[in-house]
Amino acid sequence: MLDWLPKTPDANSDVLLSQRDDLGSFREAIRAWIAERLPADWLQRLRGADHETYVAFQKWWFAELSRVGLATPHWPTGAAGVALPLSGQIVIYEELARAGAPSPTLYAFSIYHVPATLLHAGTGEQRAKYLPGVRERGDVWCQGFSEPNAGSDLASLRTQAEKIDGGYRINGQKIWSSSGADADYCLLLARTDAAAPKHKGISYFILDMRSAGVDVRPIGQANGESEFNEIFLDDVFIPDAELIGKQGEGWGIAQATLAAERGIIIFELVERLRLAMDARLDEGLGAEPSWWRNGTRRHEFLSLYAEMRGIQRLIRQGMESEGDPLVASLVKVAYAELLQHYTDWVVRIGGLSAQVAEPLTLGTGRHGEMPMPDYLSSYIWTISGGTNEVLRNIIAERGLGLPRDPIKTP
Amino acid sequence: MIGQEEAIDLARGVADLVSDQFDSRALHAFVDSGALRSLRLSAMARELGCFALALPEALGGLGLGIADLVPTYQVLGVSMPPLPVLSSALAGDLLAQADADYWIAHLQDGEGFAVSLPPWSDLRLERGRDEGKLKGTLDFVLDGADARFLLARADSDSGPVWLALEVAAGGVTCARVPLIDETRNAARITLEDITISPRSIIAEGQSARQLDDRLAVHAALALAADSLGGARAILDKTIDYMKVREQFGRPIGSFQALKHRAANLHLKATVAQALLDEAVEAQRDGDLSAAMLAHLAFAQVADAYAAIAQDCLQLHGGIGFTRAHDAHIHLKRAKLNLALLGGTDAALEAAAHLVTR
Repeated sequence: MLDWLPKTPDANSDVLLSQRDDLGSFREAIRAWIAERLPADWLQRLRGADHETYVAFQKWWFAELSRVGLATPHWPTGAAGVALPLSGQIVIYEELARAGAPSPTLYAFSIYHVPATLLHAGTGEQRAKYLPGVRERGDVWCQGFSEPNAGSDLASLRTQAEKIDGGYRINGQKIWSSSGADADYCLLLARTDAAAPKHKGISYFILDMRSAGVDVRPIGQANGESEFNEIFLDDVFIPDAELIGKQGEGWGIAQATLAAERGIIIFELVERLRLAMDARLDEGLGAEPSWWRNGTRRHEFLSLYAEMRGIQRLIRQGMESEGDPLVASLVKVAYAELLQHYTDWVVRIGGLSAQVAEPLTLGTGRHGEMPMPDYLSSYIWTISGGTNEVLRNIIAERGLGLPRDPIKTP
Repeated sequence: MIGQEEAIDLARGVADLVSDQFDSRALHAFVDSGALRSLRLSAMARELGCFALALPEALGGLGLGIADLVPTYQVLGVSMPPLPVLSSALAGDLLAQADADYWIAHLQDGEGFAVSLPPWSDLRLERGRDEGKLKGTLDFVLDGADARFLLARADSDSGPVWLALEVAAGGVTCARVPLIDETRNAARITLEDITISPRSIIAEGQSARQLDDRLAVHAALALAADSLGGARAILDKTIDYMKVREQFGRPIGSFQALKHRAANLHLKATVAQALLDEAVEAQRDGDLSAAMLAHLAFAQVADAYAAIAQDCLQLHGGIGFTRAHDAHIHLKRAKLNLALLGGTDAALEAAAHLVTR
């Protein structure tokens, strides 16, 4: 089904990373590598393709990126990464964006949240067992956090983890799990102590998705895709060795996971957005399309462009200052709002032609492919990873020191 | 002979009946099926006279004028049934104005009509001695995918001309345009040197210009009413949700930030309703400002629907993003409404040219 793709070499190659000290050469080498490996018509070929094809394609691309060290450039050397400095990462993302290369959406969780969690709180054995699996075998991970009754109020989660001989017995239900249907492993939060205060009774586990009792169901989404899933857990067994940190410490460790969602993952996306908006600016100046000649639309665009430039700088600064949670929350809210406003603007200038449904290319909602699916996909950012509402609370209370809402006794 | 009030109530009652048959479950089943119509619902609607509302009573309709139809459009904007009520009413009103008996008979028979909407496409009619030749493309005809007849507006050497033609006629190519909004359908209709008999010409010159303006006003008010119905529906649903959904040990509606947001949305919807009422009254009274107000109403209310639907989806959190929820259906309808008639830009420009105080 994907015979038009080149076969990925088995061995890793240093050909790109060996040039990382000279950004000019690094950039040229990456550009040449992408041109050589990625078929120019990949997007057209994947239009209307089914989920299975999307997954196979994502796995192929991720393997390609991994072979030359471009999949996890931000991983520290302790995780067999190269701890590429920010300047190097910018070059990589700029070149991928410039080439219109696929975003590894199937792997977003695997390359950001998983190392953030295991490097923060995993044992040496857990890191050795799982991190290479992502890089070398293309293991897919998903998140098992939210529940139908524990969305914004994640700490009220009710999935149970009962301590038994050799491990834990898990019962419950998770929802909004990206890539859940294709995941090999899951980062799972479950309650080990129902009597303890709610934040203190939660533990963090690595769940093998092939375990007995795990049932995954895709959820149809407004943007036409079904990236999110429900995960039903029925007497699932998790061995002791798969507990991350200590029992009851899950909530604290999960903050590291959540932080990944609000910082570094957005970095790549904003670099792509920068390129897309620069291209539109060039289009305006060059061909003077009707939206450029319409003063209102032109001004709206320039205002959005200004916003984007500010956010891009903020994220780059944030990356250098190592994950200040306030900056991460600001960045996430700012990016999500900008994305929604910009994609909405694109729908608007598209008029009736933007209202026509075309076959979707899965997982490319952020590629500027189709106005309405892109716009609808912006909700993935305003709602997941902490809704903009919750993040505003964090900004106001933890960032600005404003008093918490008084607790009403019902 | 029924009175005007009675006719308005009758029409709205018919819309209510149809809506009762098309509840949320039916809506989602329809949307997920990818079907063009619900045949059962269409048959019921036809029986109830849904597609003849704008025809004079003597011709089997309810004799409803543009302003009178607004409550019906608003009810249907709530339930969103896949019925060509708007297209039939636009056609009925145009044909009644033009006294086009031959074509009215087809409407009476329950045949589907589609009507080209502004901004006008490039259709060119070359007049001959008896017959004419028509060519051009209509990129986006609402309800065009299964219409049997088309009312189109062309340019000719003697000015604008309104024409009626059969979609199945030779030289007409009709291709369905799949929409993001799964509750409606559209088609691209290409006309290649169609022979136009005198019977097909339903208005020309000054009469045609009057129909242009009348259609623009009718469509503007209809889409404004549809938008308002939909906006109120999703807003009411959202407010109900905020009362029952609990997080952090309390209903999410108890958080002040969300309360303010709900209040703002309600304010927006309430003012939009009042503006529509203003425009409807001006239309009914034949005010000089009626056309201006109709275009302003479309611009403001269509915008309001999109803004309200957008925020209501967000207020539902994760479930708002699912296909199983109504929010995305409303949002997609709102966005299509905003793209029709040349959008708010065209509407506000039209209003600017019609300023009368």
